[in-house]
Amino acid sequence: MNAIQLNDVSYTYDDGSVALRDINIAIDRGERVALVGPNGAGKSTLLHLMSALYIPTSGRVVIEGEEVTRRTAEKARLNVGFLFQDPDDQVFMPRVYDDVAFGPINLRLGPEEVRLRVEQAIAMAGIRGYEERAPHHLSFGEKKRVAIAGILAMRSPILLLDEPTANLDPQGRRDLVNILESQEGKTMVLATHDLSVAFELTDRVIVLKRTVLYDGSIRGLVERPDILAEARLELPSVPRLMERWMQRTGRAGPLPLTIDEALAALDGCAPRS
Amino acid sequence: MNHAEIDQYSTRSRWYRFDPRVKLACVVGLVLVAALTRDLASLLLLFAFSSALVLASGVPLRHLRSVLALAAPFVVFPALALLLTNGPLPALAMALRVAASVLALAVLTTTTPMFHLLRALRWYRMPALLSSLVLFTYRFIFVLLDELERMSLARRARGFTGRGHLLSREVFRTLSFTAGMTFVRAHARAMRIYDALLARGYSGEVRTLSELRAGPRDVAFIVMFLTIGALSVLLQTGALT
Repeated sequence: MNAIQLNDVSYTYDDGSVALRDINIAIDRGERVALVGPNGAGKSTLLHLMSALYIPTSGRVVIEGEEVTRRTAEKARLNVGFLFQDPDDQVFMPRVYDDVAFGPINLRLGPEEVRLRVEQAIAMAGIRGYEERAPHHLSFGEKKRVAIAGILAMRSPILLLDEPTANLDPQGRRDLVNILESQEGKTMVLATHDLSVAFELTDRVIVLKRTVLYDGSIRGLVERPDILAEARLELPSVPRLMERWMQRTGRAGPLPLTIDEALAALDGCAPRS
Repeated sequence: MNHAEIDQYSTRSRWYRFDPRVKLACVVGLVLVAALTRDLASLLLLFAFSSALVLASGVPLRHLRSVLALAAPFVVFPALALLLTNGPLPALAMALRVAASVLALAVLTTTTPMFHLLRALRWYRMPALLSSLVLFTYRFIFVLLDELERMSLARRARGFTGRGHLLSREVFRTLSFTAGMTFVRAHARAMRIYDALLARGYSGEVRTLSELRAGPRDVAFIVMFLTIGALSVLLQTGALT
């Protein structure tokens, strides 16, 4: 069964601007998908539709088998953990512990279950010792971890992540990728400009520019320079370097996308001492 | 960026572990007694008690000074008005009355985290909408202050000095644009925060896990306030003279 399904979905804002049109996407349970595209492509709007925060102007959105309508939206939202781009929008309680507990309490769980979930989420997000801290005393990266703990504590089967690595330092970015990688079995949709994160975490990529330009494997996208140019995307350093190396050395074959693939390609041709 | 917060030393204070409902009720009671008392000795007692609470709280005096400075006009101006109209004793009584109340309220607000205070108010049936509004205002006032600070830096980075009086056309124009932009940004943020609330199952009330519990120490706190209140009333009625 699909975790998320969108059929002929269009969305127009109140001021008349069309954000999305004729979107058809089906995401399987447990699938990890990257959503990429230029600024203003409608990525955030699409995530809002997938999280039942917006109701489509036309078309159908189905989350975990249930169509999203004004009547069902509240229930549908509980199936989705949504990480907002700016953690200051999401971490709204005056104490970290209460913020992480906010979602589980709204799920009407018992106090013991809430405590258990909060402790586990805090451990997973690596913020033990932060429980009593006020969010406005935390760094951007720390607030991002608190926001992640808040959605992990809800144990929603679907995670939607809006630019999760934006504005993070390299170590913060690495920590975040590790946290997300540890979420086995969850359906994950990741809106990002950072293709290297998409390469690491996902197998499928959707290129968006108000409508779907491309939906397929990452390797397939790499072989479509026309799509990359239209979506104003740039390959990460490793595949760009390997592309140049393959051109110079006249080598053929699939372009290495990750460091491991690049090392394997280089190992295969290096002279052995 | 660092901002002065009224409750920043609350967790280190001696009165922190007392039940916020008890503290709130006792302090409001003291303010009521002070408001109804006219006797100078009685007001002196209340003032001395409030001062002792402040000194024993363990909150740094530097922090208390900045909190009390905000309340100083409420002590000085009514006392001055009475000094000019009714003479020195009513003025002194008024100064002691307001000062005792302000000090007691300072004890409450500097030794109780704002969130605990709101939970106590909610327990006393403050409407959920109002307590949520105050909660989010307190949480996001610092975010807004950071945004204002960044806008101020951006203005200065592009040559705006702010020199000249407020009615100078250029200064007025720039500051009014900043104010307008602040409203626009605050509105956009409010919409995003509301989405984030809905995304985590918000349906009109902010609920928390921990329950408020009063213990023996809170009983001692109430007894202490009741004793001072009773003494004050006895002094006022002349029963002790």
